[in-house]
Amino acid sequence: MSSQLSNITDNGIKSIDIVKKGLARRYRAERRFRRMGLAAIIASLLFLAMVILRYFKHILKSMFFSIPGR
Amino acid sequence: MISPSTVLFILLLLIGTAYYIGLRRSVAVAGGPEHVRNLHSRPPYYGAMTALWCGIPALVIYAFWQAFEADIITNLVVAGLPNEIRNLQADQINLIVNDIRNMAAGNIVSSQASQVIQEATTHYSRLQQTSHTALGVVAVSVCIMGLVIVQHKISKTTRARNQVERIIFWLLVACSTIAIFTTIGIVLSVLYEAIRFFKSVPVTEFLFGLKWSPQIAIRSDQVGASGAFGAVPVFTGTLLISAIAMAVATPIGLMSAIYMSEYANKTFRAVAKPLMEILAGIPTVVYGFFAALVVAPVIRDAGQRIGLDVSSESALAAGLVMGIMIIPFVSSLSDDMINAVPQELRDGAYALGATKSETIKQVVLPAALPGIVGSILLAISRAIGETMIVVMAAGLTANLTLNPLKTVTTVTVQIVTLLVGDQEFDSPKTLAAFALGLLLFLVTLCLNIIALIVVRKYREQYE
Repeated sequence: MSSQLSNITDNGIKSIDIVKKGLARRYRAERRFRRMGLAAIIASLLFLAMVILRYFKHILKSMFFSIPGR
Repeated sequence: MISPSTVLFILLLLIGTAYYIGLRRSVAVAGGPEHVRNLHSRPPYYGAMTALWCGIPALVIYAFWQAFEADIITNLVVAGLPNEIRNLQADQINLIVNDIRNMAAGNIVSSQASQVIQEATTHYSRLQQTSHTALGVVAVSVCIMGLVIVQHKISKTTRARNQVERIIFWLLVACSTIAIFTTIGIVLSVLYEAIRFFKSVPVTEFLFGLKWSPQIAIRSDQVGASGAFGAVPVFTGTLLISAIAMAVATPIGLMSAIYMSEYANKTFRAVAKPLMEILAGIPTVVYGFFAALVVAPVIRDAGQRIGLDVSSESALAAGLVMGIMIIPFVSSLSDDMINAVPQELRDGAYALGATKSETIKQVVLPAALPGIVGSILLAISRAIGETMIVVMAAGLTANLTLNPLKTVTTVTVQIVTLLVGDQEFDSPKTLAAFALGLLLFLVTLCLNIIALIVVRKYREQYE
């Protein structure tokens, strides 16, 4: 098997290098996919935090709001 | 005076007692608790059988009585009124009947009650009292009769479990029939009003008209006397906002679901999933508030900074916030569907050398496709039906545009606008709401059918 992999192709590149390159590309895609999932969850939680924080900010503002002249 | 709620309470009490009596009777028939194995069914089934035979007929009578009582009493009272009142027009008689009902209930009436109305009110109250008492007597008698008959029928060979199963089966059939008939009723009522609308506005004008301005003049010489009922701008607005919402919710929701079901550890999942589901629990008015006060101004300022003409209320603001709102619909349901894919399929892909992401893309997602499409469809339905966010962040103007930076409106918002306040149900302006509703129903139906076809075509079956 290893002797087959180390064969040289027509372009002068070793088969093992092609396999390694392919594996590296697949692992990169794997990491990218995983990060996209994590980013999606983080984005959802950020939206949630933003909605809640903005809402509470307005509530607090209205609690301490006073009408001028009174 | 016995009230219907008291009758209902007595019936429920009798049903509970019937269960207990049936249970005790079956144990007694068997010859004591140690011999219950001689019975055909377990004692609770005898109790349930007694309770069902005792309760169902009485509750059916109660329901029918409640449904028809008011109409029968009203007809009797109207029949007892003098001829000069009975010969009035139907709507005037309705006003008098309303006064009589209000006086009988002790409420304020619209005008000073005459001697005739006062007598009619006394008549109404007396009939109501008689009816309630009769209801109590009939329902309780039927209940007790059922209890006595079933109790005498209980023997060791009585197939109580089969009877209970059969009754439950028919109850479930009745429930689903009610659901189906309710849907048919809703569709028919919308269709009826929509047909009335299409008698005054041609279908082609409604379907292909490019201007929506549902104003009908009171006088013929009034400015803007003719209304425009072209639904194209309204539906374009709906589809534009829904498309923006889905463009936000689908990738984020689906990727979140994949990460949570395939990559995340138990602790992360236990924290993140409930937190994300909070997004679905926030009231839409809060989202509307967030869209109008935060997102829309941010988009407007950003647009102005780069020289774009952005409205204060825009489709983009409403769509973005709506997308955030429906993320949990996609993520939660898709997560459940992905988790339901058998582990053997993943193991097979790993054994062939696939990475995790390749397994997900080529094995797990095709297997979970029907559920994922279902979740996306649910999200689309939610987006199409959303009103509050659109009212607050996208405006009310029916612009025919695909520019997300402009003000648009949606079908549901227009339905609300048309039906707010005092309505005249002979006017095309009011009836247009039903035509919009019917068209929205048809559009949603078409979306569902397309989704079913897509699912059938691309689904991978592993059974």
